[in-house]
Amino acid sequence: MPSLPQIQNDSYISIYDHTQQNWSLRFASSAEAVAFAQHVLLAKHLMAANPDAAPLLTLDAKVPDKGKVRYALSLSLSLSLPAL
Amino acid sequence: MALQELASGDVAGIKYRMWIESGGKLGDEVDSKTDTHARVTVNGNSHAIKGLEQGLAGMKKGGKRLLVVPPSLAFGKAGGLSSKVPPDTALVIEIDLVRVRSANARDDDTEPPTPSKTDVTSIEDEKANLLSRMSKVGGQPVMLAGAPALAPASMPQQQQPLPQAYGTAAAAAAPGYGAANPYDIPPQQQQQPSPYNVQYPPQQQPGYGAPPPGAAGAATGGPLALYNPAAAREAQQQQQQQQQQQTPPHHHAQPHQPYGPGPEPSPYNSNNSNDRPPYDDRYRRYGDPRHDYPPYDSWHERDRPPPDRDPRDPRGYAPYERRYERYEPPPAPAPIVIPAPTVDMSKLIDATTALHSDIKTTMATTTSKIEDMVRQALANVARSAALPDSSGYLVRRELESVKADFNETEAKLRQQLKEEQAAHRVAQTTLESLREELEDERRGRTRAEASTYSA
Repeated sequence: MPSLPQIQNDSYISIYDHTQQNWSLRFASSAEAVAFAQHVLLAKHLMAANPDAAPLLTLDAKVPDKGKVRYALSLSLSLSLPAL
Repeated sequence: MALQELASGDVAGIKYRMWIESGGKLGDEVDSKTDTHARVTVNGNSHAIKGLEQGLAGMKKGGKRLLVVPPSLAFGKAGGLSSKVPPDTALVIEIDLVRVRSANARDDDTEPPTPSKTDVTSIEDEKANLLSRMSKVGGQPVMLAGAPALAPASMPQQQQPLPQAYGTAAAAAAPGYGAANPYDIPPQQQQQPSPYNVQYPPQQQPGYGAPPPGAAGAATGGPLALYNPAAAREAQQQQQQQQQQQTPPHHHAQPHQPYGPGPEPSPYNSNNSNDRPPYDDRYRRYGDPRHDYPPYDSWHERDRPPPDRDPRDPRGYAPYERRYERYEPPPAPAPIVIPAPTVDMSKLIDATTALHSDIKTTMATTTSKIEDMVRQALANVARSAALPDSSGYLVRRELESVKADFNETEAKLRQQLKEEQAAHRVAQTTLESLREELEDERRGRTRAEASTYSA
């Protein structure tokens, strides 16, 4: 069961997928990250068996006192679309 | 300093945007409040939707949170927001927590009791503050929409009866007050001092009734109680006169600048010629910013560019193209080139030289023949003279034969000479005719060309 995404450092979103693989997505701005998280959160809500009795989903996009990530190891995958 | 998390009963000031879920996707934005903030009590029982009140718990001031509210915690089966939210619709809400007011006075918090925890600093309370002050002055306040119905408790409440001449009708209606109190606050409550009200010492502000600086010395008694306006005015006038005597008025003195010295006055920006520095020839160039006067004046007579028109030209300034027409010379006529004559002069010269050489050779041959004959005859005469007298007959015959030969050859030669002379004359006439032809041709050509040029 994939967990809820987490927004880190305003413009990063980290997700665990169904194989427990961690994905860290970097967005151009925090607004884009928040917009992406909205869609994910809504999809999570729609996955509920009974939408009327679904729980309230919350996701913190910015927590003021939370420490920031300073150093991190990252792996970037660049995928190119096939030429049309 | 750790920020406090929102707990139940706290009042949160939030900015938010709200979307609906439609067809399994994020739908339209149905509501938002981003300029000012709305107040929501955490886990309270207020006008806000339940999901919003529940979802705020645990947030910190300055934080941002996304909520997906199921319809049971939102508008439910009824829908809402003037039917912008259909029934049974989930909401997606984006919240910015901008202001926090804790429910119980947690005085042992790390935060000091700043005015942000009270009503004072919010915009609406400032509005109320202003309105209550207006009511005390006596004017009729304009009731603005959205103004809260309570005056803040932190206002310094000082009730002074206004003079009778100020708004008699209002004074008659409510004696002791300038106008009716629009907020309907009992005077008992108004007179209670606020715990956050700080009594500041009175400040002297110039221009608002405070004595001028020169008045303190003029007044003999205490500083303010014995303030005599007439004496103060006299002292001020004396001070001004002293200042005028000390600094005579300068016609381009800098104006008074209350906020510190302004930019240094540049002499190049001045219109006064007395302010101009002595002219420096190093800057005698066009395009130099130091030329604040027109560059083509009498100071620069030698640098003046040539005029674009002849000043004596009565036509005035020509248009741009004609201006250059004047400086160009008139177009030169094409030179008359007479081509070489078609007569082949080399052949003519050859013919004449051949003729002359023929005549010379024939003349030379005839003269040599005549000389030979004369020499032979003389030799015959000499031989006969050497003969005896008896041979006189033979000599005479010989002489006669020689004479006859001589005459005959002479006649032949003369005939031949006549023929040669006639031939020479013919050649000369042909040569002359050829020359005449050549001359005629040249003259005719020039005439034709002259006629075409004049035409």
